[in-house]
Amino acid sequence: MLLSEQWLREWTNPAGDARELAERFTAGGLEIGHIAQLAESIEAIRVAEVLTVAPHPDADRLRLVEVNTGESAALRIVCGAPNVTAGMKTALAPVGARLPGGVRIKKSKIRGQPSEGMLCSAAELGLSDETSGILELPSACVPGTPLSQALHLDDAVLDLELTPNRGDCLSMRGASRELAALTGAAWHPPEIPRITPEIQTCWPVVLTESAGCPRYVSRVIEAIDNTRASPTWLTERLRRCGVRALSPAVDVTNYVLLELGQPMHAFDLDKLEGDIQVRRARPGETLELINDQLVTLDEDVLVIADDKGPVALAGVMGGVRTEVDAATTRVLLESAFFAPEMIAGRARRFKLHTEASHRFERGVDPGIQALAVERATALLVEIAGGQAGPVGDLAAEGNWQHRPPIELRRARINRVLGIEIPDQEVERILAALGFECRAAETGWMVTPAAHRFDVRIEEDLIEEIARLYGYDRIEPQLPRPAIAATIPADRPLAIAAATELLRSRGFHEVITYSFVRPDLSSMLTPQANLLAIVNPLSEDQSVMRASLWPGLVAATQYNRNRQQQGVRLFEIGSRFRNHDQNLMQDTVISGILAEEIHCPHWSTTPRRADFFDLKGIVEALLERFACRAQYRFERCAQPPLDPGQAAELMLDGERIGICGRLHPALNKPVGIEGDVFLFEIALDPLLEAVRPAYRRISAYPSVRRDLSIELPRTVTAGTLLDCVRGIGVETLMDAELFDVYDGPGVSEGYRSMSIHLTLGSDNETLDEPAVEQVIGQILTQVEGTLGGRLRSQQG
Amino acid sequence: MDQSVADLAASALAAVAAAQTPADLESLRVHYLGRSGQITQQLKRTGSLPPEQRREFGQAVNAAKQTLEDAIATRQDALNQAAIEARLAAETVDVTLPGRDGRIGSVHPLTQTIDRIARIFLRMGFVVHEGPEVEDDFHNFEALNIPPDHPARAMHDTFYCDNGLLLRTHTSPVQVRAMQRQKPPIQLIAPGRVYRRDSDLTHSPMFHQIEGLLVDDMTTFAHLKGILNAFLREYFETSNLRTRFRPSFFPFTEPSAEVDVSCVNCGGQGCRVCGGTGWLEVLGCGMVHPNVLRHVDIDSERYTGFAFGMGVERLAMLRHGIDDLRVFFDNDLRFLRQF
Repeated sequence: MLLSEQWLREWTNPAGDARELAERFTAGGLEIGHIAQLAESIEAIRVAEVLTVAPHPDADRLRLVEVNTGESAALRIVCGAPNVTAGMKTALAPVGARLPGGVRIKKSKIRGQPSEGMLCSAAELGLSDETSGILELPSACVPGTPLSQALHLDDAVLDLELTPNRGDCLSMRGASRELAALTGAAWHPPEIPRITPEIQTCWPVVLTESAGCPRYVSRVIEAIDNTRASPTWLTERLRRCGVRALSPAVDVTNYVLLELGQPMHAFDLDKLEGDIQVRRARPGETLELINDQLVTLDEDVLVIADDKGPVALAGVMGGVRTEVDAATTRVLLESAFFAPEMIAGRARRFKLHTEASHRFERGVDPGIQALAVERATALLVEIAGGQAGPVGDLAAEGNWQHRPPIELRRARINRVLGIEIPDQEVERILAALGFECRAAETGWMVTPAAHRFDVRIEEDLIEEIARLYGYDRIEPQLPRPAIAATIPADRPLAIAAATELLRSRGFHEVITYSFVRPDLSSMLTPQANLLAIVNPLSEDQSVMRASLWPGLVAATQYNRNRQQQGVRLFEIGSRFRNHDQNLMQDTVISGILAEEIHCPHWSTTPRRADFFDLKGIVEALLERFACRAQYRFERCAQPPLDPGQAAELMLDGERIGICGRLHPALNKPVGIEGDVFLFEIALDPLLEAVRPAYRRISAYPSVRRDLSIELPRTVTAGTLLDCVRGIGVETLMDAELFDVYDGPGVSEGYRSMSIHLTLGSDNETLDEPAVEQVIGQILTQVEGTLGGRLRSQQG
Repeated sequence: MDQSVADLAASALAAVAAAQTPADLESLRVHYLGRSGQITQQLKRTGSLPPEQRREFGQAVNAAKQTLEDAIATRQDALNQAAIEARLAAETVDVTLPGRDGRIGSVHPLTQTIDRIARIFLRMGFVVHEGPEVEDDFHNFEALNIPPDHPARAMHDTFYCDNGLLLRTHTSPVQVRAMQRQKPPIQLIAPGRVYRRDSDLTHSPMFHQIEGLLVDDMTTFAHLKGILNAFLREYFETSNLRTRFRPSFFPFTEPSAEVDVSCVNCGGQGCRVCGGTGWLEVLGCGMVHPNVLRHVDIDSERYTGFAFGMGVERLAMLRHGIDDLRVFFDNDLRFLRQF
């Protein structure tokens, strides 16, 4: 809401300049975002009187004008405005002046004729959109006077950024009332006299939805001339509050809205067909609004209708069929109270947001409808002439305005705020807000002012007291610890540990959007059931990520495009997928490795990163949380990974992740050259990895043996180790693979794998026959189940 | 002294001095001092001399032997030293060349900011909670006293999912979930991603918040001020940081406040960062609204609580002097490496 300081001060006039007023508002919880000094941009503009107008000798549309600027010599100016006439008062930008648009006025020649300044239109001065001619000023203006003074532009406009609870401040009346309460200055609302009816015309109104519209005030005004222009003082005020002037009937309703906070509507009476009905819309009814939008209604929407159907969306916007225009001579003014719950959200449903709906859904003062009609009548008759009929005032039965008093306990104020506030101070504050207050046993019974829809419970009253008492006067205290011992949660610690581990391996953490491109997503998570966003900002952000890979791939591509070669990125975050009708959102640790050269160093021969660089990182991560015996890698074929270089990660038999090389066919589609390695591991299973069980260290020396075994190529290292470890001999303590060879000396279709065996016992030093027996068992098993042959043995 | 012993000693010392390798030296030792070495031979000869000469001759030979042994040892040391020096000279490296596998990565500045904030609150007894990012209307709005059609919903321009759920617009639903799960005392912070349908220079459709909640049987607004003052001074590392609590409105707190700190760039004089006001708005807070407690079956007569929420991006920008929101999500390595 834009507030003109001048206008505000007519209602209440506290000490201090605009900046100080803004500080008072802000400290009271009504934030002022910006202060605009109106005169600043047109400082140099002066009032000028047109003395003579003569045709330009070389241009049909231009005129040679002499103007009086209060100096002894008249200025000669070339002017193109059609409305320039001798005797008029207008605005002059003298040589050297700068217009709000940034143009500087220079002495010049226009088609050969000298021009010593420029006569300005309202648009050129930033005063309105009016471009059809130069500004016409009241004849009382004195030439040479600064325009800002002549137009009372020594005003500031305060941008009041209201929170949704303070709809009561959406007017000069409301904002000034609040300012008076905040500063203690007097509040003097202007006198609004009742206008005596001159005609007897009444328009029938049928109120069928009195819960949604408990009060409907209306008045007929006939014989107006809506072709007249509203006076400058009124259009200026509208302009400063951000409203365009249109015609007297519309300007007046807008003015009352800004002044009193009561949204009004003017119907062209000659276009109404029969009685006004305030009712719920019928399903399927349509209404063409004054913004030319055609809306289809249902029973949840309140409308104003006549015999032919809806003529306005109640509290939101009028319809085009009964809109006033220049030819309008008879109007019906509407000033209603619509219940906030009947209006709330309705405008948004039709993608509308109007000054009226903004106020009605927050709550309009329920006692002000008749006053607003009187004010509008007076203004309209003054501007456009005409005769007013009697005020039609329909109200719902019963005490619909009644607000039960709220108990305010002295002890509760202290309990919530943590300070003692003296009784007189509480009472002073409540009185300043216009709340009725009656002493009670535990404190007070308080009836909030009718316009304060936001004050409903005791805490609301406590906030009002704290607000006017001053938050800064509440002395800070530290609470006693609520929880004796704080145990840090496991997940944040695990995330921090994984982060640190990846960082120490050269990975940079990224944070990518949770919504991703659907095409990238279907490329990188083809099997996932995606969760889509119904109202995305763009197609690029229209599905929720089912994996963090799309974000990582996009970030890699972004960096590659910026000459960054070695890219190691990771992210820890949620992924989202639909799974059997249920949404699954879990946290994963995900990474990408895209390096042209793996760990380039001056001492080593450059080589490309490969699967095992990736796997080493994944192994390190797993070992951070689990012990070796718990996890294993199994070959898997899962898009988007290369089926020959992809593994799934099994932890205690559960699949917790996947890693591998991006399928080379996808390099081009994702826009990254060279091998791209990816991993993704679910976080939660890692947290459940078992507590290690202690195994006593043997006092006896262990024995090491190395075996080289020739095996068919189809046998994987994992299978071999499983087979060896699987013999179930207690003295076999460890088996590790240390070499793979398939050069000369190894049969066609075979390869050789070498393993370290560690043997030992808790009770004795193993002797040679005991060792040989175990080795024999292993070899028998390997030969029997895998078709392996011993190549050599050392130890 | 016997001339032959003196000559022998002299030639031996000369040979030792000329020895160039430990092996040379060893063969000289054997040659002179070994079992059948020349000096050893002389010693053996002592017994065959006339008694009056034995003593003098023996002393002379022993002295020569001692001298030679010392000379060999000295020469040995010198050769060892030279060998070490030669090795060191050969193995000298350019210590300014880069080391191997030394590069480490980085942690995103937003993560660092969250960690830093969390550490401060952990020390004050808060526990970290998490909650789902795809939320339901109840936890994101209804339970927080924002019924359908409430004007405050317009401030939360919401993304909706095709399964009827929504992307949480703030981290406040985490407090609802915590209060549903446990009874007071509750003292938590909840960092996380939040989403609003807004994208321009100063708004990102995804950003981060940290929510805080303390519910106990004697929590007051004064405590809220105490905790937040302590946090803000610690976060900005400024003991004379001024704070300002301004009345504001959130549907889920009553009374509500917005908190400003004296501008960390200009100290409150007014500058570009604070828009000339000297103040920076950094968080929103208030006493938990009784309706919120009612939604989670906590007796609002017995318990009161405070809640607060802050934008991580804003706090990170202020601390690191970052002036563009978008750099957080570009993930440019040239940006990430700076942290």
